[in-house]
Amino acid sequence: MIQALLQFAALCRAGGLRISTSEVLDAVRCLELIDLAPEEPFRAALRANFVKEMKDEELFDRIFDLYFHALQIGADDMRARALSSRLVDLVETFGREAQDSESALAFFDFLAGNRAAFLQELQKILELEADMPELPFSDILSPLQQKILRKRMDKLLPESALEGADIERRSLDDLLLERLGLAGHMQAELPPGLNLPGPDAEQAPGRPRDLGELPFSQLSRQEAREVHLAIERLARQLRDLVARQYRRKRSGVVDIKKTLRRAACYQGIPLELYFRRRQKRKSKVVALCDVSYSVWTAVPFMLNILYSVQDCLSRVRSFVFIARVTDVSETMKDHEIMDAIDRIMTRFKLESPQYAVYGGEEERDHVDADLEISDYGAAFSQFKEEFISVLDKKTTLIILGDGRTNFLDPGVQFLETMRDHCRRVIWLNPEPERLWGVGDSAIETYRPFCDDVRPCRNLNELRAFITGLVL
Amino acid sequence: MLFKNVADADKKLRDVGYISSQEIATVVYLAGVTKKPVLVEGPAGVGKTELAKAVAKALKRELIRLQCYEGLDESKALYDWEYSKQLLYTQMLKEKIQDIIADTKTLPEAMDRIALQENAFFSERFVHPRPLLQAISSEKPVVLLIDEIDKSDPEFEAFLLEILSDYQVTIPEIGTQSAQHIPFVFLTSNNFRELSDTLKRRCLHLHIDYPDMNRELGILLVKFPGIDRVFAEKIVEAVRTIRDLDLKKKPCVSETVDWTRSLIALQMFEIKPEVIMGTLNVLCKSEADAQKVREHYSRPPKGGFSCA
Repeated sequence: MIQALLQFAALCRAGGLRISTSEVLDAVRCLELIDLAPEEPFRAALRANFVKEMKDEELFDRIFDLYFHALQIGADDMRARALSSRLVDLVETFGREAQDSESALAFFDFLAGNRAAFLQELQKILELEADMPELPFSDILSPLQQKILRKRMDKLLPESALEGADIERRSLDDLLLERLGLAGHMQAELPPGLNLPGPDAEQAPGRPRDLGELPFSQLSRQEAREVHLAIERLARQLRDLVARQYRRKRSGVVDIKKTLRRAACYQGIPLELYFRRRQKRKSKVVALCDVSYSVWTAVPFMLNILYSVQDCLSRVRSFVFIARVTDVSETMKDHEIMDAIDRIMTRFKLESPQYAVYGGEEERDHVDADLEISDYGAAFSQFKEEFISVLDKKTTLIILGDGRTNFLDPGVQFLETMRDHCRRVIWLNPEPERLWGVGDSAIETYRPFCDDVRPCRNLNELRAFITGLVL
Repeated sequence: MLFKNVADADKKLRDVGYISSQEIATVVYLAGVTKKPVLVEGPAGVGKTELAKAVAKALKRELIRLQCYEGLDESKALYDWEYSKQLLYTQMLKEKIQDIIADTKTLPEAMDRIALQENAFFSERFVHPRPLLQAISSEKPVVLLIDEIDKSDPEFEAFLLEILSDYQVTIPEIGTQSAQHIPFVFLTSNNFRELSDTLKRRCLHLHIDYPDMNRELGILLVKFPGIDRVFAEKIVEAVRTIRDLDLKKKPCVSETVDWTRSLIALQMFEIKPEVIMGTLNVLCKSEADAQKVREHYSRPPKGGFSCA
C-alpha cells in the first residue's frame, strides 16, 4: 500500500503537482483511518492532502484515474492468472531479444502484469522529459508494438499447434492486445498533463521561447494568452505590494486628537500613540495609445495591465488614436477588461489573422481600402482641443506609439501644451531602439517634450515600467 | 465527541440540515480525527461557512467565528490587554496597597511586598480574549471558523500559521497558554489572493463546487420539508440552466434557496420563463447578468428553456 502511494505521489510530482513529504505522511495517516473499500472516500482523502489549489484538481483527477483505474490490472484478472506462466515465458523470450533497452524491458514486465516496474520507467522518462523535450519514447513504442505483434503471432502459432489449445491462444491474444492498448493510451494521456501551466510556468525549464523577451508583435496566439496570464499575476503581486507599502507608510505624523482621546483611558497619559495615516500619493494616469497597424499589438497588453492595477492608481483614462482620438474609458469601465479590449480592437478592425486572441477566431479582412494612417500631429491637436481638461498636475500622461508620423506634421507644439498641463509625459515606444529616428519616426523630435522615452517591446520592459509607475 | 466514521459524519451533518457529499464527509471526518485544520475553497455561496456551522451543530460544540478583513491584527484576533481596567483597579485599590505596605520600613521591603501581589496586577482578569484565544482557552472543545482568510493581510496569515501549528499563545504579561482541546478549525477562502504554501500544507484542502443535481435537490428538500419533489426538481434544473450561462456571478446554493422561498411566498408553483424573468433579481445580483438570462429566455424556446 505504502509502496503504491509513494509511486502515486511520485507520479503526481512528475505531473507537476507539488507534494511535500509531510503531505504524503499525512495522507498515509488519513488512509489508515478510513475504510478503503469504497473509492470515493479514498480519493477524497488523497485529494485533500495532495491538492491544495483548485486549479490542480483536474490534473489530480487525471493522474488518479490513470494510476488507479487505467493501470489496475493483474490482481483481479483471472485470465491473467491462468495464462501467467505462458505469459512469462513469452515475455522472457522477447526480453532476451531486447536486452539492450531498459525501457523496453520494463515494458515487457508491464505486459507480464508487473505494473510497478513500468511505472518507474515511465516516471524516469517523465523526469527526463522536463529537460529533454524530444526523448523518443513514443517512437520506441510503435515499432516495438509492431515487432511484438508480429513475433507473437509467429511464436504462438507453432506453440498452439503443439498443445492444440485454440481458446487459450485467443485469450492470450486479447490480453496482450489489451495491455498494449493500455500502454499506448498511457503514453497519449500523460504528456498533456505536463503541459498544464504551473504556478511559475514562465520560468519552467526547457521552454522554447522566453515570453518576457519576446516582442509583442511576434507572439503567437497561445503565447499572447500566456502573456496576459503573466500580466494578471504581475497585477496581483503589485496590488499586494502596494497594500503592504501602504500599511508600512502609515506611521506618519502623530495624530494629536486621537492620541489625546485615547489617553483619557489612562488618566491622560498618552500610552498609545496614534499616527496620521499618510496617504500614499496615487497617480492619475491618462493613456494615449496609437492603434495604427504598425504598433497596435502592444496596446492590448498595455490596457490590460493598466486596468488590472487600477486599484493602485487613483484614476485611469484611456484614449486610442490613429488620426482621430477616441475616448475608450467608458468601454473599459463598462466591460470586463479582456472583453473591453476585444471591443476596442474590433472597432478598429484590428485583427491580424494569426493573432485573433480576442473573441471569435474567424479571420477578418483587415486590408481596408481607405486604411487610416496614423497622424500624430492631428491626434495631438485634437486631444489638446477636446480632452485637455482630463490632464492636471497629478496626472501622468502615457503615450504608447512608435512616433511614425508618415511624414506629416508632428505637431510638437501640441505635445508641449499637453506637457505643461500634466505632471509628466512618458513615451513608450514598442519599436526596437535602433529604429528610432529612422525614416518617418519623429520620436527624436518628441523627445525633448517628454520626461521619459523608453522602449516597451516585450513583457519584461512593460513589467519594469508598470512597477516603477505603481510603486 | 467526534464523528465515528465517514458515514457517521455524513449522517450527523444531514441530521442538522447540511447535505454533504462523499468528499465533504470524508474530509470532515479526517480533519476531526487527525486534528488538522480544513481549508475550504469554492465560489461564494456554496455553503463554506454553512459547513462549519453544521459541524459545530452536529458535534454540539460552540462555534467561534473570526471574520478576516484587511487590517485585522493581533489585538482584534487574539487578545487585547485592558490597560484602562488595570489602571482603574490600581486606583481603586490604592488604599489597600497602602495597608499592605503600611508596616514596612524600607523601600526595598515595600517593593518585595508588592512583588508578592504581582499576580493580582497581571492576571487574566485584564486580558480581553478575542476569537483565537477564546478557541484555545475554552474549557470545552469548540469549532473555530476563520472566515475569508484570503481577505486578511499576509502578515496575519503568518501569525495564524504559528497558532495553528502548536495551538499555544504567549501573552507577555501572563505567560504561555496551551490549548486544552485542539479546536476543529475551518478556514474559508474565496481565492481573493493566493494563500501561502506553508499554510496550505498545514491544512486539508476541500474544494466545494456548485452542487450536483441530486445534492442541490436534497438541500431543497431538507430546507423546505413540505416541498413538492417535481417542483423542486424544476427549480434545480432552471438554476442549473442559468448557471451554465456565461455570467459574472453565478447563482449559488443560497440563491437557489432564496429563490425557492420567494416562489413559495408568491405561490408560483410552475417554472415558466415569465416567472423566471419576474423573479430574476433574486437569482442574479448584477444587471448585466440579469440581461443575459433575459436574452437567453426570450430566444425561441427550442434552444432555450426546456420544461422536460
